[in-house]
Amino acid sequence: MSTRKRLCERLILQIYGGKPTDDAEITPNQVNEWLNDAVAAAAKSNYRENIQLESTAYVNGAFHMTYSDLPVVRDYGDDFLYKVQLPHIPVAIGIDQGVGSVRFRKGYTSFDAIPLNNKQSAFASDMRTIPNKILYSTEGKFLFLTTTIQLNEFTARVRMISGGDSKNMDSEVNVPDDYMPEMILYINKMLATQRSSPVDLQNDGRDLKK
Amino acid sequence: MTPKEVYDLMLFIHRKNQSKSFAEEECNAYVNAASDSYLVYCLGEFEQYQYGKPAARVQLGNNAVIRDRISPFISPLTPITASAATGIAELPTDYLAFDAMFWGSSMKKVRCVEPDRLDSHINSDIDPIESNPVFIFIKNNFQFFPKTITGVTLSYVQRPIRFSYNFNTVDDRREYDAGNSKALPWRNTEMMEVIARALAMSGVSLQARDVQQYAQTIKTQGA
Repeated sequence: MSTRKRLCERLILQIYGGKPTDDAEITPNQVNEWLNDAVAAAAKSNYRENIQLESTAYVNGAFHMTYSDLPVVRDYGDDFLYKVQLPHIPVAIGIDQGVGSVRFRKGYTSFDAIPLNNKQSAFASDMRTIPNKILYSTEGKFLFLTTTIQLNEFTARVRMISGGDSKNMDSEVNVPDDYMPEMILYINKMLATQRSSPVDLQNDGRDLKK
Repeated sequence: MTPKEVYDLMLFIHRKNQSKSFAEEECNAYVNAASDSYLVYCLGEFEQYQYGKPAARVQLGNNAVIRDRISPFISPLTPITASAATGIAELPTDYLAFDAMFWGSSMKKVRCVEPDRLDSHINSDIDPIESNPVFIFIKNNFQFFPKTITGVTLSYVQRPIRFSYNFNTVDDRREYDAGNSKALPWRNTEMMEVIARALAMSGVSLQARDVQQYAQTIKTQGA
């Protein structure tokens, strides 16, 4: 396991063939941006390999991370509809692999909420709301929840595929070591493209043309 | 090397080469010019730039040897204070060339950027200037972005003090005045390069190693 800062430094050392100078264009923050993509690509690769090797569609638990105390707000226009903002958009693996489970806390913890895919949520919206059950579907960065419970008094606890806190460089990269080489290869490829691209060295008001 | 050692050596070489008389004033002028010339060479001359590759063959930071040679002129880390309103800080009075700049207790780099890339730095979301400060040179000043930056330290190449061989005239004879003379801070090995350049300017073409031999001769046989 490695922190984001450490992994970014390792990649910069590799791309520059040693310690970078103060003129180095590739910065840890920039590598961190690529890291988010690489984590998602690694999770997708794990999903694909599991199907090929075990004929079962799943993403290994090592890619999952639980985010707690996410506020729940009532969504406008519907008494039984609530909304939770996730730390990032869930990965689009399978029907609902991006978000593993959703629970709610207010002194005690609820059972898992029931996931719905797009079509199921269309059916569910035409049905009477099921008492004491929480249904959810994902939409971009949000979870939309349908329930008769006053959910805005609770906080959400979401287990989802995530590389960790991308804004905190001291946080650990939530990817198992066996998928690190894949991520490193991907990021190196992206950074090598940047390093080998022609640079406009003239301040002449014209863009560089090959 | 003391100014007297420098002058005696140059005078000795001039005599060996049977050239014209060599006055102390000439020595001061040539040695100062030669010192500047050698320092510019070490810092990287534009004339040596190759087409399409903006880097001199020899330049500051190129390798540890060059840096070691000019180390007598590299300042200790110097705090720089910029105006909070304009973000402008004046260059130190003895500033000659930029070496490196740091910011904050973690010594984060403050990057010197090209003005035609300045807007890319100022408007960057990935590396916002608030946590990745940059500067440009403007009218003999540093212009920082963000303008409110504080806690900046600078490492720079200092302008050498001027070499001067001073004398007092006693009974129509010039006697060396050690108290009012000023030596250059170059180390002895680098002074040979400076003296060789000064001699070339005064009409004697010698390599630094030949100058070294003459210096040894003076030590063993006297001037």
